[in-house]
Amino acid sequence: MDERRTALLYVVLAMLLLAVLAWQVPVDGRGNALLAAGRAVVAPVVDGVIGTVDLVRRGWTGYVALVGIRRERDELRARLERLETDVALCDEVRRENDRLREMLDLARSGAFERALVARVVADLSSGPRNRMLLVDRGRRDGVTRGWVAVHRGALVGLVVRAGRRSAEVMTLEDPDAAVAVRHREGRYVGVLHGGGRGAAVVARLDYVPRDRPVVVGDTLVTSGLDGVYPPGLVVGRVRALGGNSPLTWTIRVDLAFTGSALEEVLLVPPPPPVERPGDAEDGP
Amino acid sequence: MKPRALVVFLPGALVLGALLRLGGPLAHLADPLLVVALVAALPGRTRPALLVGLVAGLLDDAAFGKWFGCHALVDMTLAYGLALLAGFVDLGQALPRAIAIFGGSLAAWGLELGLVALFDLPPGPVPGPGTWLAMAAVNAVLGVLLAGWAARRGWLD
Repeated sequence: MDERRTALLYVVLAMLLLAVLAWQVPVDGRGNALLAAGRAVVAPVVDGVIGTVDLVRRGWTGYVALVGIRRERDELRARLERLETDVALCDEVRRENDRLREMLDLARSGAFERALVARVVADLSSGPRNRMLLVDRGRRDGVTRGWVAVHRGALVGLVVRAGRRSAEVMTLEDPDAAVAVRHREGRYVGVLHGGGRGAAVVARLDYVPRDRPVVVGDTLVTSGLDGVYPPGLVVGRVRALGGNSPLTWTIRVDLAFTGSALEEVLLVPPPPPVERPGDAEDGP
Repeated sequence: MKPRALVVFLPGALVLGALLRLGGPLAHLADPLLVVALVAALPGRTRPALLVGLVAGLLDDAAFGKWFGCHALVDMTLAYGLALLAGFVDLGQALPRAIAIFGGSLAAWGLELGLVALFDLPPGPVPGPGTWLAMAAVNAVLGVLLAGWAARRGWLD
């Protein structure tokens, strides 16, 4: 009896569903309102599932993108470091190029036709009383004792020993160095002695008469009177005036170059010896 | 099948169906609501099976169907038929259950095509026979697992 009722129920429900299906057959564009109503019932569940999945998918996509961005950032950071290193190297090359061009221009000016550019390979200084540089030019390049080292028009020192491939330059900071100088405009002359006294390396110019118009800041250049250094090279600037003598100044001079910062120097041959009267009188 | 089982299975099947449809090609991998309807028919009680099939089909129609009532009629018919069959055949083991659910899934395909032809409805995205066979196999596996789990918890009686 129960099975019959169930069968009847099935038949009724099946007929009802068939009628519902028949009603939905599209006629002249009529909409499916029944389906829309059914959708409205379960829409929250389906929308919730779709929304959750979409959220997870977007989160995952964002995470993957973030990982990619992080990797890209690391690569860019490494690349930036490499580029910064390259830029620093380029800057150094550019500065070196400027220095060498300046020296080359000086050499081409005719003043130093036989001049050579030498690289400073070592600082041989062993204290304030010994200021030496080692350069990579020697007898093989024609460099001999007496050549003059110049940097950007400023006097650096004198080659005191020449090896086959290198030479030692005694700089003006050495206490044994001495050079005949004059005021750039010729107001006074004197002999400048190298520095080396105490920690402060300051050269000094002795025996300048007090009646000479010496002013702090005056530029001193080589006079060439010593026959060792070519004339016109910048030596330094007057730093201070002093001395105990009532007749002469003792002038402290800041040298125009600083030995620790040198990377290249221009080696210039010594000026030709001055022919003295009588030297050429080898005939009758 | 006990009501508490339906409270768990029907929403779960709805959610699983929505997830499968989000996966694109996985949309026809399985029909979870049909599986629930067929599993509910395995004990052999016709009226509960009929009602569960009706509800599962209505949910399927409302959520994913193109024609309201199509899945309801199909699921209800298959659940009712399987419950009647269970009165004559022992479906207590895994293999008969799998065969019954596999056959039910294939029959669902035939019924749907038949309804579409009967009412001259515009055909929706009806999968091909190969896809349907694969879906029937997956449904069978799902159904056996679900029935076994429900039986262990005492929900299938």
